[in-house]
Amino acid sequence: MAKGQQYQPERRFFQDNRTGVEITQLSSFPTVNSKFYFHVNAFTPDSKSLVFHSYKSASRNSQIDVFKVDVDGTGLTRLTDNPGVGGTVLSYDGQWLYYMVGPEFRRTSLTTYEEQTINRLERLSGEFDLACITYDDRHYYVEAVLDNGNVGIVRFAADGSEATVVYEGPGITHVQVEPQEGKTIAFQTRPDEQHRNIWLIDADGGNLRPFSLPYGNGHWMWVGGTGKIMSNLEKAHQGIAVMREGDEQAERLVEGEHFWHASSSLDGEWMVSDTNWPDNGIQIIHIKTKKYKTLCYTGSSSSHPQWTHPHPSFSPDGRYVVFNSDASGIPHLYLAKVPEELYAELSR
Amino acid sequence: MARGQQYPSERRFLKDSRTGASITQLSGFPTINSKLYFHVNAFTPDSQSLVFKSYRSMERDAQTDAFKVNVDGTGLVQLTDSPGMGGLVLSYDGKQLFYMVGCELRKVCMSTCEEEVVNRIEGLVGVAGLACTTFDDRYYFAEGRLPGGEVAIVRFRTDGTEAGIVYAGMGITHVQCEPAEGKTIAFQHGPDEQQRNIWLIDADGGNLRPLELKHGNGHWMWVGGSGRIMSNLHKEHQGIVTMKEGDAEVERIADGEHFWHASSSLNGQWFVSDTNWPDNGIQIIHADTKKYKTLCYTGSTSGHSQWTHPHPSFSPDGRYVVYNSDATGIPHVYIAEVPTALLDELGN
Repeated sequence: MAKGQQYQPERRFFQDNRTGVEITQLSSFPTVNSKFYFHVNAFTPDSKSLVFHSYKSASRNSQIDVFKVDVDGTGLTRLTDNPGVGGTVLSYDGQWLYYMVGPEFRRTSLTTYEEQTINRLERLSGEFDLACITYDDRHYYVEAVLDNGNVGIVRFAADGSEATVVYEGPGITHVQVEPQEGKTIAFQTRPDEQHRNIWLIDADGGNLRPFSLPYGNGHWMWVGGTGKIMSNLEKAHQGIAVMREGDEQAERLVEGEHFWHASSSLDGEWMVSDTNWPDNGIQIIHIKTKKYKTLCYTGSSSSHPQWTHPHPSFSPDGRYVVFNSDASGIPHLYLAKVPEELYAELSR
Repeated sequence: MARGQQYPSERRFLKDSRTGASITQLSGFPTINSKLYFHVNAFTPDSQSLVFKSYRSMERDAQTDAFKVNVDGTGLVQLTDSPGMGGLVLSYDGKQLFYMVGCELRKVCMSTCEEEVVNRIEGLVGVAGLACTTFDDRYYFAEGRLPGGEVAIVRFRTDGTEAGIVYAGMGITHVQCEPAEGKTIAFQHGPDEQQRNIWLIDADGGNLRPLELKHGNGHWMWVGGSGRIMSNLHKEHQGIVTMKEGDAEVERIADGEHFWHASSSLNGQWFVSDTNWPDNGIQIIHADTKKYKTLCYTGSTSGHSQWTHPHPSFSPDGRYVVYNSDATGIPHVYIAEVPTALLDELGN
C-alpha cells in the first residue's frame, strides 16, 4: 500500500503487574515491529507521535517500512513503501522523516506523506545502518557501505547543498554527530589495547582521536546538548559512565546492575536503561542524585536479535519511555508512562 | 492458491487448565486467522463444520480468504480467492457462502467450491462491514460503501431477482435483519442523547425508529427467531439485557461482570460471552435461570485489533463455542466443547 495509508489502531492498554506503571502496546500486527535505535530521534517535538520500523511481511528478507503512531495508539500511518530504506531518523522539528534508498538521500513529510529526493552520492552501495541529525536539522549523517567495501561516515545537508564522505574505514558503527554544535562526530570501532571503543573526528573528517572512556559495552550516546558522552560498561565493570573530551577520567553514574542500553533525556538530566544478565527491568536514573528505580519489566527475551532488546528511550518531554519487547512471542513496540512520583522520588 | 484447495489439518488439542474444557485449535498457520463476527452465521446446520477468515500472508494489506474446516480440525479447504472480499455469511442451509466483491454479490458452493455472481448494485464502491441472511436464506443484507463515505444497507434476493439499496447514511454499522420473518432491519448508529444506539427500519427502508435500549456497548444481536434483541452494556452498566420492540423496559439477563461480546444460541435459550476489564474468561449464560459459569479462558490480549477479541459464538446445536485468541502471539480460531454437565447445572 502507498505512503499515507492509515490503519486501525493496534493498541492494547495494560499495567505492569509489579510496578503498576501504565503501558500501551502500540503495534500488534504479527510481523517484526521495533523502535528506532535508542539514540536516533523518533519523536515529534510535542511528544505526541513517534515513528517505528515494521516488517512488511513475516519473512526474514521482508521490506522494512516506517510507520508513525500517536502515543495513545491511534493515528497508525505508513510513511514509507520503498524497498531498501535505511538510515531513518526523524527531524527534531518533527516535520520530516529522513532516510536513504540506494544512493539517494530522501525525506517524507509527516503531514502530506509526499516523498522528496534531496541528493545522491554515487559511492554508496545501498547498505546503511544508523543515522543522526543535528538539533537544527541542517545536517544528516549516516553510516554507509561504500563502493570499496569500507564503511563511510556520510554527511548530507538537509537543503540538498552538500553530499560528502567525511571519513571512511573498516568496522565503523554507531555514528553520532554532537547534536548541539555539529562540530564533532563520534563513532565506534573495535576496542583498542586500552579498551577504548569510541573515536572522535572533527566535522571535516580530520583530527582522529580516541575518546578515553574504557570498557564501554558498545551502547553509548551524546548526553543531550551537554557535549558529554555516556556509555554503558561491560558486564564485568557494570555501570554507566559519562565524560567530556578532555576530562581526566569518566564519572561513574550508577553501578550495581548490568545496565545494558541506556539513553539520555533530551535535557541531559535523566537516563533510562534496560538491564540484562539478569534482567531487572527498565531503570530510570537521575543523573545528579545518581538514584535509580525500576519503571517496568519488559518480559522481552533479550537474546541475539536486535528486536528482542528493549532499547528504551525517552519522549522529548520525558513523560514516556518507548521500548521493544517480544514477550508475546512477536516483537512489538510498547510505551510506558513515567509516573511523576517516580521522578520526584529520584530527584530528591 | 485457488478455491477448493485442500490443506493438511492445522489442529491442536488442548484442555483449559482451569476449567478442564476440551478445546481444539482449528487454525495453526501463522497469519491472521479469525472467526466470523459473533452474530454472522458461520456454521453448517449439522454443526459439523464452519467457515473462518485467514490472511493469505502476514502483511497488514494481505488478501483475506475464507476457509472451511470441520469441528474436529480436519477438512481444511480454501473457499475464496478473490481480492477485496467482504460481507461473508454462510447460508443457514450450509450450502453457500455469500460475500461481496466490489459491487457484486457472489456465492461459492460449499461442496464444489464453484463461484457464481448473484447480482450487482451499481454505485457501490465496496463492502463496508458485516452481512447477514434471513433464516430461509432468501435475502442477504450487507453494509455497502458509497462514494462520499455514506454506508448503504443493501438487500439482495439470493435467487438473483432483486438487488437494491434499502437505506443509507453516515456511520451505519452492525446491520442485522430480523432473521425469522425478515421484516425488520436493525443497525447501529450513535448513540443519541438518550444513549440509544440501535435503530430499526422496515424491510423497505422506511419507518426509522430507535430501539429503546440504552447504554449498549455496541455488541448486540437478534436473539434467534424470538424477535428480541440482546445487547451487552457499557462497563459502568455491566451486564446483558434483552428487549423486544414495544417493551416498556429491558430484561436484565446477567450482571456482575463486564460481559464484552455476547451472542445468542440459535434457539435463544443460551448466551455465550467473553469478558474484559477484567478478563474472567468465556461465560455460558442460561437465558431463563440467568445463571452463568466460566467455560474456558482464552488468554487473548483483548487489545484494539479485532482479531484479539474472542467474539465467542455457539454452533447451531449449542455443543461448541468458537472463539478467537492470540494467546500464542498469533491470532487463531479455537473451538471449545460445552460440557453437558455445565448446561445441566445452569439450566436447573
